[in-house]
Amino acid sequence: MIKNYFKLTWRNIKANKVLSFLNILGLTSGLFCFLLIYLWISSENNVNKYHENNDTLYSAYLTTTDGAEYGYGTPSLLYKELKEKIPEIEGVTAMSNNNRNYTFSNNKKVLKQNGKYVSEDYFNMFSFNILEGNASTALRNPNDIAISKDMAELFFDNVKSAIGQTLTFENSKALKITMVFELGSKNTTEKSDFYLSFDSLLAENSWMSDWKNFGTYTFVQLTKGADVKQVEQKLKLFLKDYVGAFAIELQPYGDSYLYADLENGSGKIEYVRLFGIIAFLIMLIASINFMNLASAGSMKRAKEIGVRKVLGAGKNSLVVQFLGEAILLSLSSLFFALIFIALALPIFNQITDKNIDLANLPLSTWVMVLFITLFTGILSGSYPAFLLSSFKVTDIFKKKIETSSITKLIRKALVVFQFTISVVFISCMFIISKQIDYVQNKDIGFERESLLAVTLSEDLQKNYNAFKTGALQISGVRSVTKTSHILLGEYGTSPEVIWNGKSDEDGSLFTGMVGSADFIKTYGAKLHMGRDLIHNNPDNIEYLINESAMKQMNMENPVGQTISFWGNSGTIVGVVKDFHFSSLKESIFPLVIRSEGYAEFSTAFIKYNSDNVQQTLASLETLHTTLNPAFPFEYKFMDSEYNKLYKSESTFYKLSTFFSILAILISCLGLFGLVMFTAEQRTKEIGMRKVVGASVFAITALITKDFIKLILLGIVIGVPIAWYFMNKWLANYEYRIDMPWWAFVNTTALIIGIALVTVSFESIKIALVNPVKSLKSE
Amino acid sequence: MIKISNLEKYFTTQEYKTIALNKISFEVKKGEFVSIMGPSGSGKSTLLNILGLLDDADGGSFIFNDEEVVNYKERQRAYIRKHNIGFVFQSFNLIDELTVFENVELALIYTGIKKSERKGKVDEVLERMQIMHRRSHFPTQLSGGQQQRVAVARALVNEPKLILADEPTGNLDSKTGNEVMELLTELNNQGSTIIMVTHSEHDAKYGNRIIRMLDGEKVTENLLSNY
Repeated sequence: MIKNYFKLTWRNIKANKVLSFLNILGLTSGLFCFLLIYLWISSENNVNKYHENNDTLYSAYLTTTDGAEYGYGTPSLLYKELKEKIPEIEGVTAMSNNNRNYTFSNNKKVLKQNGKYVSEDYFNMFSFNILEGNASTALRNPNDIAISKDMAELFFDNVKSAIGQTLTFENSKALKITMVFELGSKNTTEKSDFYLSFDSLLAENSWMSDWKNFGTYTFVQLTKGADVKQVEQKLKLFLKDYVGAFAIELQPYGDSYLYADLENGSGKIEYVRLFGIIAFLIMLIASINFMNLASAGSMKRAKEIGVRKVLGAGKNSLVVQFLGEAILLSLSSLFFALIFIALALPIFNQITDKNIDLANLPLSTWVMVLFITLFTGILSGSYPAFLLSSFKVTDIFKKKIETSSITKLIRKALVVFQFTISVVFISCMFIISKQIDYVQNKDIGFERESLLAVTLSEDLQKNYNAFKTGALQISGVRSVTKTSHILLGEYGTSPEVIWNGKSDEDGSLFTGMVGSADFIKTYGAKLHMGRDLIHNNPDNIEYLINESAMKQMNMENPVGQTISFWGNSGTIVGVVKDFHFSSLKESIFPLVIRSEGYAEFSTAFIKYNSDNVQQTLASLETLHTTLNPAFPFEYKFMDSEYNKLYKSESTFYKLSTFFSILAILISCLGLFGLVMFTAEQRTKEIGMRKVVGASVFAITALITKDFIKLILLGIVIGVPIAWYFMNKWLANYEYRIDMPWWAFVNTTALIIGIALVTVSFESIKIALVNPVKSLKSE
Repeated sequence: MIKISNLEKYFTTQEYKTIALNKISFEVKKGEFVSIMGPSGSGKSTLLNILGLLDDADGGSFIFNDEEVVNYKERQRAYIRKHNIGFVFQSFNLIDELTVFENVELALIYTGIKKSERKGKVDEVLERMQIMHRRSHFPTQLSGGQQQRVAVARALVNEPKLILADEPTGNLDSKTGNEVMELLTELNNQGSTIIMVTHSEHDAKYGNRIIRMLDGEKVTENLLSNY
């Protein structure tokens, strides 16, 4: 019997090529999207969760006791104190907050590598594939370094020979390689070429030992069975004696990736949820297609059902047969979908920055994929199965099966539903693209175009003045400055700003950075009052503050006033108009910029003329090599760095565009199939109409009209839904576009256009048929 | 074998109630070949559908093999159908996607006969219908006469007690039609009970008895020959 079903299914596929093609194409596209998103979601859900100690690893974060500010930045000395004072803590590690590029050299090579500082427990707490060396002792001494296999191979013949060797760090000190690890293809955000001893960083930067400086990440590992709640209770008041009104809280380390927005308990998880919904809806559209095509195509199967019933087939066996067919079709669609996924994964991985490999999926994922496919088959097959098996034999043979009004209504409702979803997808796509466009082109208060960030490595920091003078002699260079931060991204915050009249309870936080002469000129920021920084003199410290800081300090005329930041007293020389120095999702934070200071964090910024950039770059490189022969020339274009801030938005946009296009495509496949069958059912009517003189246009309009009504209804329902969701999404942005009404007009035009083409194609074909033929078909 | 008495069937639309069968009664004995005649709309096909348990009656009694079946549920009717009745239709009703062999085999599949047994039975009946050489062809590759032979083969393969034929020659030319009628006669001679609906006086005469119907009622009954 089963073999018979298989055979018949296969022959039915062959006999109804167009219908089968539409069915399989629709399901394949649906499964393709669904599985791709499923793979992405399960990958996102498992980021950083592969560590053996995953269950006991936590990220520490700080909140102000009034719950106003949240951040992962913690005092740098916290890790030492925690380990000593909280018995439930088995391990703690400090981590410098961002990966940075440093120059390493040996007698063979000079290379920039990317890494960070961590403290001793790090390799015991987090799982690494250690090829050489000992995790417990790897960073015990200040001049120890752990390097990746890739880095070892860059500098040495092989991994084994790297151990015990030395590398020169920033042309200044020799580091001893104590460990070689392998990153492999782990699902991790931790992608460092090397790890240095955090203690050495502390020793070299005394300011870091100030408890009021929250720039370091702290991770803890609790003892097995320790009660997190209890530990958190202890941590709440832990900082009281060190820094005042801040509480330490713990977040499971594995959650830090998806829930990095501590204040709202969200983050990337929003995208995971959103894509989950998209995947589900696309699968639903595809299933609806299948239902509609199969039930509309049932007339063709009526005779077969009749014969089977006459021969004694019960309703159950027919239901089983049609469900079986649907499952078989969905399995073949799965097969095609997997082929497409295999082809698409390289690009998909590139867009999403993932490392998904079909060959490496766990068994559980495959089981889930199979389950989803079977479920889809059953979901899509159930409606036609019950519909077809309920036909009465006598009606079939009398050719009296008419689609009941309920069936017709369901079919129409399904079409409306499909197009509602398509409308929502497409209008969201328009609006998201507009917002991204807005963000990328917004006047952020400084000119990021034609701005180059050049890393000032050790020697160049000492020779900065020579570098600046040399650079200004290059014809393409307009101005040069240096700052401690690149003006885009994460900053530590500190309450350590003191001004005249500051009350004792005032715990306002400021972002601090170090700048130098020509700060405003080079960045193209605008002065509100006062002047740009001029002096780079430690004995004569100048401060620039932004308007928000001025407001925070409640000063009417701050120029000339004395303030102190991290204990360095100086004079405010100017107020700069607020500019965005982090994502547009955040409002502008109070900012103080101090002239001169810790030189190590310096990056030079060069404003250049946009013509002949290559020439300018080449001259800068020559200058760099002359002044700083031990280090490679490293630079970044600020505008492309700025766009990286919105990477997840642009990824989301790219993917949602792709999925929206597929959604509308799948909906149209279904529409096309439905028109085909409507035309078939109305062949006689069409013939009669032509006999009495209806034109091709009139016939086309007749068929098209009914479908366009449904699509219009889909638009009417879809637009408010899209409006609602987009309004919520835009609210995430401190700076956002007004809801663009034209997005809905465009969506309507686009969808009606596509639907018209789809519907007309088949209806014109039918309308052109000679009426004798249409009538004969009865 | 079959005894119907006062059998009734109505068709109701929103405004009208059409009487398709008006208290019709007759009996068919085992081994008979009965032709039912009458103009279009006289209720012949409706009667045949009820006799074949494809449709239910609205009143009266229907005794099949000494069982009252008039109130049987679809499952019970399907059971009787697949074990006792073979159908031959005017439009053959073969499944286009199955081969000749598979079309005939289908009847055996639903009665749950084992695969090994099925092949022998199907081949035997195809041989008997002289259509064996076409066993791997699809219906669309056959002539009308050949298709009807396949349909008859399918009706016979379960060795049913009763064969119901609804205008079996309606879609065939006269020569092929005669061949099919000869075939039915031969089956009747071998012991099959046959009830056939037809428009054709010529075909009707192949039977032992003709029941003539008009407006849902039996008008006359002519005995042509004893069986």
